[in-house]
Amino acid sequence: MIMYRNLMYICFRKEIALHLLMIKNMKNSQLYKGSLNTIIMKLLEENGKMYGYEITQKVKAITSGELNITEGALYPALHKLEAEGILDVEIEKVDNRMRKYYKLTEKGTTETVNRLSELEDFIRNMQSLVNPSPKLEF
Amino acid sequence: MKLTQEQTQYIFDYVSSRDIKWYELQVELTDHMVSSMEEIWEKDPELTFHQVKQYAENNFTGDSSFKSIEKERTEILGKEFRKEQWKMIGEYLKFPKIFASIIVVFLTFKISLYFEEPRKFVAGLFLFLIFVAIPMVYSYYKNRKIDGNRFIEIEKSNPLTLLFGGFINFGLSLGNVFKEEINEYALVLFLFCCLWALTVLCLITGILLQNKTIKRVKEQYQLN
Repeated sequence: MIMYRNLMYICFRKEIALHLLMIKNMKNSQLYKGSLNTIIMKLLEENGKMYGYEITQKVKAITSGELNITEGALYPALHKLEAEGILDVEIEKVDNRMRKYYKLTEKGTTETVNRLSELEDFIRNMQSLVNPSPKLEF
Repeated sequence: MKLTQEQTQYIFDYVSSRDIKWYELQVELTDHMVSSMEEIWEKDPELTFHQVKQYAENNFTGDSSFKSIEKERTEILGKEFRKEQWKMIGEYLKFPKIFASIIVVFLTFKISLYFEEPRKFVAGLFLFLIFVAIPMVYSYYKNRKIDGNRFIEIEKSNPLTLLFGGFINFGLSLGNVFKEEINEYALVLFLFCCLWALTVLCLITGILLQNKTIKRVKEQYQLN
């Protein structure tokens, strides 16, 4: 619980902190994969457009290096969201190379709100199940 | 510390040499490697170029290897294009486009009744589509490379690899199995006309999807 609170303060972003904490503690890869898309969408909602490497670094920074999104998980997630029309792609020339930026589409923005709400419900329910609040009976 | 033009090109060539022939992945993976290398170099300027490259490359092992990422992307796009195509076909089964579909089925069925052996007419319809596919194959080969670059998106949106090719095969094989029934029963003949109309829909939607994809890729990558 203390760690949970610390992470909340570090992130300054209540929702991202919650999601990342859940992912960090998840040993089940299915749950991890399910939440990764929402995390990406949330980050893009806050930052406008981002590129792959930037996303991995942002997550690392938010969690103080405790969570690493592997390239093998990140790119398939980005490509799937792109194919589903949730993300749009913009190619820009940066320094001496091309860079592929991802940003939310209109559909993606709406979907982000829905998925965040679903994830919050999930976290709340899990919290209630794992750590039920004591009954105040005298 | 920024990588020079030559060093960046070296990384691009290195990614390509790892059997990554698709431009969109070459661009994305090169940028990831170079960004990672620049950050590592910033922290430890004493490292050599090849040491920094090795550190950056360590992130692309096992499930994160270049080939794994390529395989995942290929599967995702194949699945999404098929989904998108079914969605487009679905539009032709809804008002108002359904009228066009009904007219095609009705006309095909009506014409087939003029033939003594409708089976031959049905086989002819499917064979006709093979001839139609020839300019499509030409168009695919013409567009498979844009400015010398190949894209998984374009490869996967090829109508022949979508549903169209499969339906021609299916129609011809099934026509061979039910050759007697097609001649004898009007209902079987009608079902084959429906199947042919569906194949035509696959062809139309496949071409539309490919053109849309080529246009989008050209716009995104600013290619001609």
